[in-house]
Amino acid sequence: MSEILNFKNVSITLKKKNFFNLNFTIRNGDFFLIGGDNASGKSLLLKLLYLKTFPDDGDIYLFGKKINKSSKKSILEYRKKLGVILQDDYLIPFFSVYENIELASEIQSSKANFKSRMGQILDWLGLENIAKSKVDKLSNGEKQKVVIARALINNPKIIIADQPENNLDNNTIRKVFFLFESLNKQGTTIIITSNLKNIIKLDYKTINLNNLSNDKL
Amino acid sequence: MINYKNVLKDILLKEEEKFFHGLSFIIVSLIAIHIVIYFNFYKFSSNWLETESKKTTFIITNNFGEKEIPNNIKDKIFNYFANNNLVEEFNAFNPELIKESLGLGGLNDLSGLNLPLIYQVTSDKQEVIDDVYNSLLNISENRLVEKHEHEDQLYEISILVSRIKLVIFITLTFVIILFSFLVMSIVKAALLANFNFVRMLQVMGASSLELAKNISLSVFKKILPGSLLGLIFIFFISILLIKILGSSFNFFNVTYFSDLLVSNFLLLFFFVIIFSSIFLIFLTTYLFNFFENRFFDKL
Repeated sequence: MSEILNFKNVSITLKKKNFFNLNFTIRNGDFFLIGGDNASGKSLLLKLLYLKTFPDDGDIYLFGKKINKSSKKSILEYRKKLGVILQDDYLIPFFSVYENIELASEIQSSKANFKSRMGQILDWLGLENIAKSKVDKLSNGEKQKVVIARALINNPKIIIADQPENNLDNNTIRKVFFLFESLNKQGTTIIITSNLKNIIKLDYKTINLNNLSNDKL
Repeated sequence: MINYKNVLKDILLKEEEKFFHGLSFIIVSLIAIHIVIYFNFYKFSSNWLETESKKTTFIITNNFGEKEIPNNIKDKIFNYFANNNLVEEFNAFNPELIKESLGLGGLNDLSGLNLPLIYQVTSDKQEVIDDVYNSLLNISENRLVEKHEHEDQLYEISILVSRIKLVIFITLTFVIILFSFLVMSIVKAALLANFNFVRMLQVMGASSLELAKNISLSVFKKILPGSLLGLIFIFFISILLIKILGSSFNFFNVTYFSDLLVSNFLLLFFFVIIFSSIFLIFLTTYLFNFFENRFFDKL
């Protein structure tokens, strides 16, 4: 399996606290679960993984090449391949569900089979009845579904999710994790932080930020 | 299909639209009036200085006991100038006009006032002026001939004119910089207020350059109506100003006046093109750096 990201002695300082000293590799088709207590740096690690922020020490290799000032183009390409689900992610409040999802498609320039993909995702997440509703009228659970739908609309090669189960009912949580597993079987790389590791039936790798042991790596 | 550019326009600066219209009208009017004054003043003062500096005044003083220069000498001098092709223009001052300008118009010929003969000669060649001076000495039969070259007297005026131009130019530059920084600060504040949206764009892989170009264009579209209105307003103001002040510059000539209007219109038109281009480049560069610094923090 080809290498996507390779972290070598990566650490980051936030509010004078030094986080991690990570060494791991993410390959195509991996399923990663990042675990750890509150404030252990799970979201921070995800930020490093979707290359929103960059480390203070250590190196990150993207598709085998060390990230430096000249890597901006490849970082942009990488970001376009991502589907990111964040906690309390931003949705445009005065846009409808459909428009919010559509916007991701336009920004990432992924318009092929848009309508059929949109139909499938809305149907799968039970959003078809509220597709035209404005986002600010939705419940938190419905907003979380929209965030998930927006992340999945462009058939991303890599999905990064920060506690995607937040605000969802049990039935939808099972559906979403089943979807992640199905996508992973088809070759999509999944990296998630979650407190529900028992729900995952596939063989997965973990990064435990409590003691920084990279189990099953 | 949703238009990403419209989304940017809707989310950023929507509240500030009317403010932008008003602001751009006021500031662009201010900039344009400076441009009109600067270039017209430049043109007027340059023309005036050029014409005036070519002039030399010759004062031929009467001999003791002479009420005025004898007529035969006057005729000789007149004929000399009339036959001298090297002199561009000459003008004899009317004694009545001299008396009027000295406030002595009420005096009659019996008074003891002795009026000199004054000629104003136009030529930009020093050797011609020297030749005229020597000839006048000869023709006037060694009466006192004084030569006053206007160029010497205009030196201080030209310094004053340059200073006025500099002040106008500095004010113009200051207003342009102030306007650019004001717009930049408003855009920055709007971006920071919508930073979650910007962060979402970053995560999705939006390009800094594309974002900068799109936002600059939307800002430009917001300031365009006010700016155009400001320019039209200043164009009419400039017509009014030229009409009011123009009389001192002998603008009774209709052709000259219409040429001036056309040149003012072209001036403002080129100003719009140049100002818009520089403003767009400046804003795009600023926004590009803004996004690059945030999208690739610590890189």
